[in-house]
Formats: sequence, structure tokens, C-alpha cells
Amino acid sequence: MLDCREVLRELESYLDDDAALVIRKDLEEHLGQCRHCRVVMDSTRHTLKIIIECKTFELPESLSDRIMNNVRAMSNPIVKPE
Amino acid sequence: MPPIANPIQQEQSVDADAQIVGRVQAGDTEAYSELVKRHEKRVYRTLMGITGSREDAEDATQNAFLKAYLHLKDFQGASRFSTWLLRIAINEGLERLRRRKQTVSLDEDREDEEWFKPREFRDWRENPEQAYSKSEMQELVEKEVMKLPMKYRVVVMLRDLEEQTTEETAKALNLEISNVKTRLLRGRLMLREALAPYFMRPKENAHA
Repeated sequence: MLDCREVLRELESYLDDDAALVIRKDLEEHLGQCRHCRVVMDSTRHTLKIIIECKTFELPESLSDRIMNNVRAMSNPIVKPE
Repeated sequence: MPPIANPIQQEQSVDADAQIVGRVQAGDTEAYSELVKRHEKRVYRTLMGITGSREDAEDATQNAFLKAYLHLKDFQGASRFSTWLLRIAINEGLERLRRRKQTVSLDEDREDEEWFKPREFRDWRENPEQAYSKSEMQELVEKEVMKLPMKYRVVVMLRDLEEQTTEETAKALNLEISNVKTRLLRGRLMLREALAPYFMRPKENAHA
């Protein structure tokens, strides 16, 4: 049977649903018997959901305008006119 | 919850980038604003991941886009525009850290040696996502993500916030896929640990 450390190592592929079936069975067997790993697995799943859903780190206001102002200020014709 | 890559969508988006790049290379400066709009969020978040500072990320984002513009004539399309741009941004971020004399390496190291051991085992409440308002949640996540060490923060930023695949993240950061996976796992576990106090079941209901 897998130990807690091995279970944690497989946590990502388990949450991402791509753990091979054999491992998945072992994982689930462990999770059925180990409350600590079950809590970690469950709360990591929620952590991911929270990070993905909260859409944080929004762009500062008018950043794209400032970028374009810099670009225009530095703008040389990229292709020499014929 | 992995981002599901949609190959058709991805191809269309690559094509659109290539077309816009072509227009800018042909002298249409204003077309560059389309590239800015399409990629500024990823560049900004990556730079937040690297620099850990809003001000630096903002400044570095502007510089990265300016550098990319000035070198666009040399861009041959050997890689995707987005990959090329992100490399410029990452270098810009690392350069900033160097100036601040902070650790600058994103390189591989022996990740397996120090294992991150979870310490918090109390059950979380039923629907933690609904425990706080949207703005409270954003503030909380932002605060805790920023506390992560840089090498985990940047991986979490690309993989979980920008929803890049593990392969794309590895490519952008020039890391082995296995290394990205280890850092991602550790970053996620650290975040879980940091968020736990906010989302755990009240003590009277907890099964200790």
C-alpha cells in the first residue's frame, strides 16, 4: 500500500484526473483509510478552485494605453520605406 | 482541474498572432495594440510572479512590450510570438531582481530533497468558495500567492492563474516538466496551508 508521502506525490495527477488506473486504485484505498490525506486532497482541490475562480491579479488601469504610448514614442518605421 | 487544451482554438489564436505580427512588421504600429491586449495579462501576471511587486511588474510589463516591439523585425516566427514575448518578459523580471540583488535563479535544483510536509489537517467547510465576497477572496488569494517563494509563485501564476498547461509553463520558464510538477505541487500545498485558517470548519463542528 502507498504511504502518505507517495500519495501526496501523486496528488496532482489525481486531481487532474490523469493518474493511471492502477495508481488511482491504490490512492483511493489509501484515502479511504487515511483522514489526513483525505483532508489534504480535498482542501487542495478547493484551493485550486478558489485560485482559478477568483480571477485575481487584475491588470492595473490603462496599462495597455501606457504601453502603446511608449511604443509610439519609440516608433521608427520597422520596414524602411521603399 | 487542469486547463483543457483546445487544439483548434489554440491554432486559431497562433494564426491570429502571426497575422498581427506580420502587420506590425509591415509598418502598422497601431496593430501592435492588439498584441498588447491579447498578451498583457499573462505578461503582467508572470512578472508579478517573478518580481513579487505590483510596481515592478507594471514597469517590467511596459519594458517587455517595448523591447518586443523594438525587436519585432528580428522575430522570424521560429517559435510562437507568445513564447518569444514571455521569454523577453521573464528576462526583464530576472534583470530587475538582479538589480535588487535578490535571488535570481529559476534553474533546476534538487527539489525532492526537502519535502513539503502538510501540517494542517482540520476539515474545510462545505463550500469554502462561498465563504467570502469576491473582493475579499481576491484580496486573500493575492496576499497569500505573493507570500510564496518566487520559484513556486511564478509556476502557480502561469499554471493555475493563467491556466497554461504544464508543458507550456515548462517551456516558458525553461524547466523540465518534472520540475514544474514538483514546484506546482509544493506551491499548491503551501497555498492550501496558508488558506486553511480562513476556510476550516469552526472548531465546534470539527472532527478532530
